[in-house]
Amino acid sequence: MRRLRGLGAVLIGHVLAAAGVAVAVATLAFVAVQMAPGDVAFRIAEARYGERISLQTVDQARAATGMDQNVMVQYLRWVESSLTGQLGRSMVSGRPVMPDVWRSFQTTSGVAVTGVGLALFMSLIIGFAVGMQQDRILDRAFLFASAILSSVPSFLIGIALITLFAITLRWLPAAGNNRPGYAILPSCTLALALLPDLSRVARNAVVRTLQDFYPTYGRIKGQSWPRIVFRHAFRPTLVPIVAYFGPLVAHTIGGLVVIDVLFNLDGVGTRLIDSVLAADIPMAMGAGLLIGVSVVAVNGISDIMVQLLDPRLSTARLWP
Amino acid sequence: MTQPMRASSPGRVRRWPPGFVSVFGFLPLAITLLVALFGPWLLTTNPNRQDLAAAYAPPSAAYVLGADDLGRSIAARLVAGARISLGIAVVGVLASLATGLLLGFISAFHGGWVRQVVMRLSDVILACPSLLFVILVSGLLGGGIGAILFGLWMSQWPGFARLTAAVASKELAADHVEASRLLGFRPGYIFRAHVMPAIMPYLTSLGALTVGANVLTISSVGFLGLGLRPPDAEWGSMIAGTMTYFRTSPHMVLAPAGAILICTLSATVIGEYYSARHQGIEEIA
Amino acid sequence: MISRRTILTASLALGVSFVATGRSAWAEDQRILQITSPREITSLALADTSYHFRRLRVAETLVTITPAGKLAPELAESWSVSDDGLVWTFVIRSGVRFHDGTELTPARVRDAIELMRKSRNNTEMVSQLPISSVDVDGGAVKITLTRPFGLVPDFFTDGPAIILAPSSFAADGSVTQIIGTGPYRVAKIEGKASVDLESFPDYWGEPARIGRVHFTGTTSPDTIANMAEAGQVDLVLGLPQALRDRVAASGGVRIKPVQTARILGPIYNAKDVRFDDPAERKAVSIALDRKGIATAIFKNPDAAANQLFSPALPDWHDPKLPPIERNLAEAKRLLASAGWAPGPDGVLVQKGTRFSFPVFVGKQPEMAPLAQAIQAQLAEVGIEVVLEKGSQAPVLESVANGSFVFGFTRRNYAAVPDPVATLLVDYAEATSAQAVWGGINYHNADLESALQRYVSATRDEDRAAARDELMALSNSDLPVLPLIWYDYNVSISDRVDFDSVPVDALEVSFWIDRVKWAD
Repeated sequence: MRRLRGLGAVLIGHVLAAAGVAVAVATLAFVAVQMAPGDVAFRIAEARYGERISLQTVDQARAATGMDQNVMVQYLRWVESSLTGQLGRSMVSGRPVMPDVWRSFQTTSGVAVTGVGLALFMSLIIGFAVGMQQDRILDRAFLFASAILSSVPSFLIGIALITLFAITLRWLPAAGNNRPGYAILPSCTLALALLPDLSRVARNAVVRTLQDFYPTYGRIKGQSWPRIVFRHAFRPTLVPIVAYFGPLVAHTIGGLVVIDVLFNLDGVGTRLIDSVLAADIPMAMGAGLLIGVSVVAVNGISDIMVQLLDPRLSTARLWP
Repeated sequence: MTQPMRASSPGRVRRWPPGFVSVFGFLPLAITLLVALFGPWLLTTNPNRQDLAAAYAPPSAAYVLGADDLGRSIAARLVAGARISLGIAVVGVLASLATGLLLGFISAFHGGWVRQVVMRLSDVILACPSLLFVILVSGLLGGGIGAILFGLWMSQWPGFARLTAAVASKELAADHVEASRLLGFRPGYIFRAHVMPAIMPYLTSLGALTVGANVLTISSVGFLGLGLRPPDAEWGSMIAGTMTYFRTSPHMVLAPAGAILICTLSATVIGEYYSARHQGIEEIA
Repeated sequence: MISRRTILTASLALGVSFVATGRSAWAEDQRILQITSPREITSLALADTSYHFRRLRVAETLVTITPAGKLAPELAESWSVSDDGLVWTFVIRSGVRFHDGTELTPARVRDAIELMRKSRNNTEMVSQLPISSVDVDGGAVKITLTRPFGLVPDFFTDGPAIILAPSSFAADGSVTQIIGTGPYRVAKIEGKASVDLESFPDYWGEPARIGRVHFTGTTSPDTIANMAEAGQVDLVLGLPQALRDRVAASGGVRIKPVQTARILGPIYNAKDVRFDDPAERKAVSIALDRKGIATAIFKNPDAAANQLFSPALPDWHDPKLPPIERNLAEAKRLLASAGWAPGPDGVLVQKGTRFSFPVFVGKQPEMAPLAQAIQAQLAEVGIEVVLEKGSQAPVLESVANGSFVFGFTRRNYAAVPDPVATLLVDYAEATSAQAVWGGINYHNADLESALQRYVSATRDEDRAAARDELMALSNSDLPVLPLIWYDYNVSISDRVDFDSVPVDALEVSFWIDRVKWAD
C-alpha cells in the first residue's frame, strides 16, 4: 500500500515535470527563432516561396504571420492557443500545426520503437552470450567489434543498408513512407547505431549480476545454468538497461534526424530543425513540445519500471 | 548516438589484450594528433587547389587517395581536415571539461542549493538530444567552427560536472580532506591536492570517449550540410559533398569515412582502457 | 507486477502496430504510377505551388504550352486581338467541369483574372499586364488593355494563372484545397511530401491513361537517386544533373535529358564599385572556366553557356556565337584598365575598396561545388569570394539593406514561352526595382526601349528587329553573366513505356496523363 502511494506521488511528479519541460522546450524553440541573426520574415518567405521569393512576398509574410507585432504578444498568443489544445497554424504552410506535428511524431515513434525494440532484443541476446564469457576471447572480440561499430557514423550504416537491401537486392524501399516495410531499413539503421552502447550496457549488467548473490544462491540450490540465468539473473540484469532508457531516447531522437534525411522521412526532430531554421514559430514550438513530453515520458517510465523491477532503489534520484 | 554515455554504463571491468590499446588506441590517435598539429608543414599540395580536369580521378601516383569532384587532392584534404575535425573535437572536450570541473567542484564543495541547481540543470541538459542541439545551433548561426564548438560545449559540460561532483564529494568526505578543510586550507588547494589526483583518470576516460563521440557528431552535422563553411576540409562535409558519387567513385567517400572510423575507434579504445583501469568508474559517473 | 517478457513484447508489438498503421497507398490492387521530383508542397499559396499542381496536371490555365514549346489552347478554345491591339478576346471552352462538379463559366474566369490582377507579387505575370478591365461577353472573356501588349496569351500560361473552383478558397482568399479542371484530381495531400492523384472521369479532354498516381516530394538528391536505382519510383521528374550518370548506370532505368531555358549565372549589384563598369563584368565572366565547371560539376560539356538564351529558345539563341573561353591574362588586363591593382595580400584594391564579396551557398546539390569552383577561379585574378551558408533569404535581405554585391540566379526564361515576359519583369523600369533575380540596380535605356518596342509591336518585322537588339544587348552588356544552362532529366523505369513520356524543355508540365505502362 505504501509502495502504491509512493508510486502515485512519483507519477504526479512526472506529470508535473513533463508539463514543465514541455513548456520550457517550446519556449526555448521560440527564443531560438528570435535569437537567430537576420530578419525572421525573410526566412519565412523563403520557406514559403523557395526560389519565387521576392521583396513583396517578404512583406506579405511579415504581415500575414503577425511578425510585425511585439515579441511578447506573439508568445502570449501562442500560450493562449496551446491552452485551448490547438497549437496554431504554421507560418509556412498555413495549415494547423497539430496534425502535421502529430504525423511526424507517429513516423518518428514508429521507427524509434521498432529500432529500439530491435536493438534491445539483440543486445539482450548478445549481453547474455558475451557476459557469461567474461574476459574470454568471445567477450574481447565483442568489445572490439562494438567499439568499431560505434565508430561508424550512422549515415554510413544507412547508406550501406540502402545499397545492399534496396538497390542491389531490391527487397525494401530505399526511402519514403508510403510503402509497406518502409520502416525496416531506417529502424535497422537506428538499431545498429544504438547496438554498441546498448549491448555493452547489457553485457556489463550480466557480468555484474552473475558476480552477485542470486546465481550463487541458485547454484547452492543445485539449479541448472539456464534456470539460474532466467529465474534469477534476468530481472536484475534488466534494471540497468531500463535505467539506460533516458540517455537512449535522447540518442534516438538525435540520431533519427540523420536517418530522416537519408530516408526522406518527415520525423519530428527534422521538423523541429526545419521549422526553427524557417522561423516557423508555431511549428517549432509544437515539435519542441512533443519532443520534450516524450523525453520526459520515457525517463519517467524508465524510473517507474526500475522501481517495479527493484523496489530497493529509492525514489531519491528521480528525474528531473 | 554520439554521447559520452558509455562511461556511465554500469558493470565491471573489462580488459583489452596487452599491446592492443597501444596499437588500436594510442598509436593512431597520436599519429592523427601529430598530423593535425603539423599538417600545414606536411602538405605538399594545397588542400583547396582545384584541377577540374582531374576531377573524380581514382588513386594514382599524383593523387595518392584520388581527387574529389573538383579535382582536389583527397589526401591533402584529409590532412587539413584532421586539424579541423579533431581540433574541434578536442577543443570542445577541453572547454566542457574545464567548465564541468569548475561547476562540479563548486557544487560538491558548497553543497546545498548550489549543488541542487547545477545537478538539476545537468540532468535536464543530459536528457536532451545533444545532436539535435548542435544541429540547431550551427543551423541558426550559419555553420562555422564557433557554432559547432558552442553546441558541443553546451551539451557536454554537464557530463563532466556530474562526474566531478560525484568524485569530489566522495573525496571531500574522506577524513584527511576533512582535516585539511578544518585546518583552513583554501578550496583551491584542496582541489589541487586532493580532488584533482583522484579525478584525473575518470576525466581522461570520459574525455577520450567524448573526443570520439565529437568526431562523429561533427561528421553528422557536416553530413546534414549544416557544418563548416566551404571550402574548409572537414571529414564529415567531405563525405556529404561526395556521397552522391559513392557508387561510381567510392574512394571519395571511403577515405574520409576511414579517417573518422580510425579516429573515433582509437579514442574509444583509450577511453575504455582508462575506465577499465580504474574500477568503479561507472558507479560513480 | 511487470513481467520481463511484457516489456519486450509490448515494445515490439507497439513498433509493429505503428508500422502496420503507417500510411500505405500501396496495399490496393490497382497499379499506381509512382513519381517523384525535388519539389515539396510547402503551402497551397498560388505564388508557391501553382506551378507544381499544373505540372501534376491537376490545374489548368487558359493557354498552355505544348511539349514542343508552342502556345496551345487549354481552358480557352481560342483567342483573338482587336486591330488596335487593345482588346483581347478569349473564348472559354464549354463543358469544362471542376473536380467538385461545378462548371467553368466565363464569369468564373473573369473573377479569377480579377484576383490575379490584384496580386502584388512580382513573380506573378498576369499582375504585370496593363489591363484596364475584364468583362464577360457571351461565352468569352474580353480583356481591355490600356496600351497594346503583344504577349497577353503568353502571360496567361504562367503558373499562378491556373483557374481554380471558388470552393478552393477560404473566406480570406487563401487557398485551402486545389480544385482544378485537369485530368487528375487530388485524392489526398499529406504533409509536404505526399500527394495522391486519381484520374478525373469528367475531364473535358483526353482522359489520363493511368488511373492513379502517387507523388513524393524528395529534396535530398541522393535519396532521389536511391529511389530511382531501387526501382521504387517510375518517374523521377527533374533528376539532378550530377546524378544522371550514376542512375543511368544502375540498369532498369533510362533517362531522357533535355536542355532547358533555365540559366545559372552570377548576378551583381550594378551600382557597386566592383561591378559598375562593363569591363569588370567582362573580366569576371572570362575568368570563369565554363567548360571545366560544366564537365566536372554538371557532367555535360554542352551545359557551358555562352549567352543568356539557351538552344531551348531557338528564336532567341544565336548558334554562331563562339564559346566564352577562359582568358586570365585578358581578365587581369580588363580589371587593371578599370582601376584595380593588386593589394598586399594579392586581392585587387581600388581606392581602398577590396575586390572581395560574400556569396551565399544555397541548398541545391550543385551549389556547394559550384561556389567553391568560382571561388578558386576568381582567386586567380585577385578577386576574393567569401562563402557563407544560406539560400535565398540572406541574399534578398542583403538586397533590401543595400549590401548585396554578387549572387547567383537560376532563372527560367521560359516560365512563359516568350522570354521577353521574364526580361520585362527583370529589366523594365516599372518592375525592375522589385526584381532581384535579374540583377540589382541594372539599368539600360536601350534595353528598356527595345523591350517596349517588342511588346507593343503590331508588325512581325518590328518585333524581330527588337528581338535582335535584345539578344545583342543581353550578350554584350551582360546583365546576367551566362555560366551554365540547366538540363532537365527524367528517369523512366522499365515498367513505363519510355516513348510515351513527353519531356518538356520549358518545365511547364510533367504530362503524366500521357504516360503509359510498358505492357
